[in-house]
Amino acid sequence: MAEMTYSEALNLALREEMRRDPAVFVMGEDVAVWGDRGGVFGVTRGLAGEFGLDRVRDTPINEEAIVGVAVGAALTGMRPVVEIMYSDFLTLTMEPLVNQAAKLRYMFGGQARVPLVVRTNLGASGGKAAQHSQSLESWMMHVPGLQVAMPSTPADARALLKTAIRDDNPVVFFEHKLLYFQRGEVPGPEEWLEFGRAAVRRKGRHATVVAAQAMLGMVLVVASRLASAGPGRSRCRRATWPSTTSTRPWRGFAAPTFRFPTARRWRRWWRLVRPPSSRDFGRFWRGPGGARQGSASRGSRALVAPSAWPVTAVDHLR
Amino acid sequence: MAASTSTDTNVEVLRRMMLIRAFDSLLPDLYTRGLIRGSSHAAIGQEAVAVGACAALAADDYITSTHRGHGHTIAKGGDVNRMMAELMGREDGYCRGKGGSMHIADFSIGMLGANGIVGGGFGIAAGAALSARLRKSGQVALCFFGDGAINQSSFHGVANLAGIWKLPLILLCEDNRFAMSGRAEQMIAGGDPVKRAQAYGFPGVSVDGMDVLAVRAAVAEARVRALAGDGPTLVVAACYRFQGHFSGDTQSYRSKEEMAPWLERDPIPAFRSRLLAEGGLTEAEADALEEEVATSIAEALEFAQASPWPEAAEAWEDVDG
Ligand SMILES: Cc1ncc(C[n+]2csc(CCOP(=O)(O)OP(=O)(O)O)c2C)c(N)n1
Ligand SMILES: [Mg+2]
Repeated sequence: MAEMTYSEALNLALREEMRRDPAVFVMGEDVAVWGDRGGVFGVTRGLAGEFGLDRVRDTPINEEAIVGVAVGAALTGMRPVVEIMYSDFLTLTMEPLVNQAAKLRYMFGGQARVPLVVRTNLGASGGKAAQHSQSLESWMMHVPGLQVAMPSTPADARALLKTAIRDDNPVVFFEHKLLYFQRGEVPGPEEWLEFGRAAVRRKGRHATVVAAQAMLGMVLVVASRLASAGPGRSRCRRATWPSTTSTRPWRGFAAPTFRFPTARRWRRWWRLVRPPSSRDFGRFWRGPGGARQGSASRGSRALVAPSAWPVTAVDHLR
Repeated sequence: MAASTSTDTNVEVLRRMMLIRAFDSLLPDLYTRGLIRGSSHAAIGQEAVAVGACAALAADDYITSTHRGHGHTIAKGGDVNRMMAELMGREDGYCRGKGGSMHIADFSIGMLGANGIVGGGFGIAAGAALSARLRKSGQVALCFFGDGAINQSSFHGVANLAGIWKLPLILLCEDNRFAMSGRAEQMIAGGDPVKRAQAYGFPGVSVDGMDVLAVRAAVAEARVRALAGDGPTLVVAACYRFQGHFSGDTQSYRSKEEMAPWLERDPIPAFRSRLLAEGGLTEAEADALEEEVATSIAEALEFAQASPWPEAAEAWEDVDG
């Protein structure tokens, strides 16, 4: 058990898989020699030093070519892990990702394998505006043949990335910008998570809240408040594996149980879950640094969780 | 008669061209009889490009193909029985009936798939070339594409990447003068597509796509370069699509007068006459070859029609996510 950031946990997973399997290689813009880091968010830091520039490849800026070439490499015995610097740029990869990677195994009647991981990140942070902040995971979820993974904690990040790399099908792996510098415990070397399962983070009988990534921290805070003040205890799930092509319901997913509260209870709820004030936003925008200082809320009305987006949580609960 | 599997001999080169012609000539009739559905695109007139190029490759080299892909598969050594079964959507087809004409693939012979997306093969071929480099396998990858596809952004992204990484890649442009109704000279800025290679720092070679041996020689040279670590080559093979873009094409965009000189240069009779003249083939052998090809096609039709339909439940197989 070691404590590390989400970004370090992803780096560890890449190192472990590259050491284990020579077919795994990393490719993307500025993943190898950018500063002392490797990758704009430091996820590929130091990999070029350990594995060389053949297996950690800086590419020209052409996302379509990066993913296109990765598909061809995946079809012919390699396990490429490509980085798309921001998930907004997935829009430039739609052809190879959607028409080729997602469909080839199916359309070729099972004779092709496409063990491809496209790592990217979503979420808004640091005032980068609308072309560097999108969360396009629901688009990807609607493409049959693409799997979508979204880790919420450092432990999940490490384990899910290992699972994604070992999977024989294409995975779009969404990291969250606001989580990169969050710390957490990461267990022993071989932990990996099965795809397709939600994790129950908190058990309860009356309401089910499904959340992923930065929202998880927020939801846990709200859930504990509701548990003491609301109509009943709540259950909180951490979603790591959204799926749309499956006709089965999400495994382990229970329909929300909800008892209508009395008017008095509604008022009590409202005090807890009211839309955030500008002060809450001020804390939010401070980003990872502010978030690391913890979730201690100022005053009973503040709704501040680590790196979370308060409005959405409120919407869900209403 | 057992089909030989190597293109070492000129006779085998001729046989494969004839097989492509016979296979693609069947398509209109198969549609009329309701035996095939979807789109399929005949490569009649372009056989010398497919066969010449594949004749210069090793058995385990990779190719990627296009929507007009039957010829590429046959040239690489594909099985016409399984191809025909795939066109008919049967269980014994290459893709168990899920792909049809535009998605025939045979990974066992390095044929990484026809493609319904114009320009969809660039990334796949370059990725296969990168994979061969990383695995030090000594393979090369050849990407077939059309004069229309050279205008796709994927061409430019991949040409740049292959250029800087000196990938063992051969970019083979089948310049059949048309992209559906779009004329190459009207759609390609800068005129001759071969000039585009220069921008990416590798050689561009123009070759007569109606001359199978000229294509073979050009690709053989490109392959040597690729294996020596000198990077990609763009080969532009000038050829002509003898038929419509697909079976139902009225071809209002071109005239008989325009087509006539190209039809006179039909690559198959030309190569046959050449072999006869040079003594590489006798009349009797040529006739036997024709019969052999006709038998292969008849057998393919029989095989395909005898093949069962896929189970409905297979529609859900081979997809996750
Ligand atoms: C991305 C994409 N755009 C358009 C089409 C429709 N389309 C199919 S073939 C074709 C023409 C392609 O021309 P070219 O690359 O020269 O190949 P040719 O048909 O001449 O063999 C077009 C426009 C397609 N299949 N994919
Ligand atoms: Mg064309």
